[in-house]
Amino acid sequence: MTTSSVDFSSLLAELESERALAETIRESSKELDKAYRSLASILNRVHSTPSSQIPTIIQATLPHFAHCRSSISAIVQLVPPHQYYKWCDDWSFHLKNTVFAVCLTYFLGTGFLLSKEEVCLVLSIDRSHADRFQLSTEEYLHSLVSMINELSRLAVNSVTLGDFSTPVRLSRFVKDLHAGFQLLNLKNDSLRKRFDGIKYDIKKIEEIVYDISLRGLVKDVEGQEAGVGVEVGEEKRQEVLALLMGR
Amino acid sequence: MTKSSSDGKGQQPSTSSPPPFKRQKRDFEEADSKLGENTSSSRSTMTTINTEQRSSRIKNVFQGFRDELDEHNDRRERLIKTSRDVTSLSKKLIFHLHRYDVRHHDPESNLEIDPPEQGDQGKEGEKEVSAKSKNPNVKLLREARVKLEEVVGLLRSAAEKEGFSSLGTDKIGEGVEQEQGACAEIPLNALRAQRYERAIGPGMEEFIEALSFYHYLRYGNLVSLQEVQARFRLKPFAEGGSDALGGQEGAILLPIPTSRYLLGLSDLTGELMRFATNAVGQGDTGKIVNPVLSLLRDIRNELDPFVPLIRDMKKKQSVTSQSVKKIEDVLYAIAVRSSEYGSDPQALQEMVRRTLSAGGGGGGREEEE
Repeated sequence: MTTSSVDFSSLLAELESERALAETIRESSKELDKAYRSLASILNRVHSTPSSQIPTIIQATLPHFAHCRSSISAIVQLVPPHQYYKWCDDWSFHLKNTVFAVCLTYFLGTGFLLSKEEVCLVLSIDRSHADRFQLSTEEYLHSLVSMINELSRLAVNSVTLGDFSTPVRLSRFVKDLHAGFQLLNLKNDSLRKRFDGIKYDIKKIEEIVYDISLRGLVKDVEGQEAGVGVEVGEEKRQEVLALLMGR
Repeated sequence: MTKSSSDGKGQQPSTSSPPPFKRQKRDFEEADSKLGENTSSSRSTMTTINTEQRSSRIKNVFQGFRDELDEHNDRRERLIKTSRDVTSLSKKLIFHLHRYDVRHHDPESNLEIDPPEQGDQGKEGEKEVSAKSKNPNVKLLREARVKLEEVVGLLRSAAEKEGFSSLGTDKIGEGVEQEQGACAEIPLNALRAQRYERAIGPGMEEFIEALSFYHYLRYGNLVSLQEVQARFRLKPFAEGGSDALGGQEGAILLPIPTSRYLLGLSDLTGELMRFATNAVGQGDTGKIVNPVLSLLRDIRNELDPFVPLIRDMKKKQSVTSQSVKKIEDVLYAIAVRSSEYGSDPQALQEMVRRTLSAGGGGGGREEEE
């Protein structure tokens, strides 16, 4: 047996350059986080603003969605071809937050759920770079759970603002979403844990609806144009989507 | 949002309807008379249609998600199972290799375990009994090779079945459509191999440990990443075959990540330590144990820069250091005692046993005989 000289220098160079790239990508996804923080602070106003002012809030979010798009395309440029799964953990957290903001904004504008494909349109996550950047179904579902958490808070605050029709609509919407989640066979992972938490949000909203309907405050909900989450028609939904896409 | 919002100056959309706050206040005054009234009876048809449309859309979308997530989870679980099977077969192979008889150690004959058959049927070659193949180690290595092929086959077929192969027509779960040109089949399947790397990785490490041990016994050196990868190309590489360069080309069926390769080699050091101490126990006084020690030292030194780059490498390095120390202690014991006992195999065996059972710490202590 001869003594073999061990030489891993080329492998070391490979892993070191990967490490450097990971840092660049993480640095760049901080930009996405910044954009999300701005969005979050604007969207937070929804809890303290009469529902009539919601279009103003949506208008205010639009430049920040443009910022999200540019941050994402910066990340796409960094990821080497065909290596999506190698790097996706580096931005996943920020992407979930951003998608939550997109879905919430769209819901505020339309009363509808923005589909995963439409989210990709808003954030310009394109199929042509699917080997480098995608929105995974798990990430999208995480964002929906965040939105449900936020809507239960909104239900409380809309009542405080004297808007009694919103909780009824939120309750219906959140129940639809929950029914959807119940179709999934979730494994014992973080999504499962967060899904298990949704029921407290539903319960919270149901209690609010109970409180206000017991006192007869809920009246003619469907006829009202005002409030949050009023379901609008197809045409209007397209308009809002185009707004979010920056068109 | 109402109609006026899209024209750019829609900041005051609900001026036409009474402010909700005022209206609800009025509602409140009428509360008693309305208590318990069924609100759904007064739904406007338009909103009802929208709401139902929304519910069914959500349902459809989630059914799609369910199928996608189920497919992903099933595939992951199948691969974890494969990983476990690979681990257990690799452990058996390592156990088998530890039966290597150092008294018949002959690097020459080890190199020639397969010239007659030049392929995978190890059994046939055994009939041609030459002086060299009488060596029990040749038989052992032949058996090891059959076992090795079995593990390779397991990993290859898993990779093929789960569509890691660039020949697979399968696309990745998210329903990403095949793009023309740049983004064709190969990349998408390469993505899948990355996606499930964590499921199959532990088995792969164990396999690399077994393969590198086999390779060391047979060739006396460290298997390279290229040599490992060559076994997982679309066109399988025949060991000892004439097309040594053929393994460098061809599409990759199952990519071997650099980190798994290095972690597997780190595990190899434990096996080499056992091999070296067994060798001493069987009478070796340096022919085997010295090269093993220097290889172990080389591996440890070369792996050190990887500690911050690869998770788990730190722990493995400390195990390697312990292995190095154990061999050093054994060699010390040999040096001290061989002046007393010469190279009497029984005395050596006893020495190794005591050195190792002393936990590597008290290896040099005088023992009563």
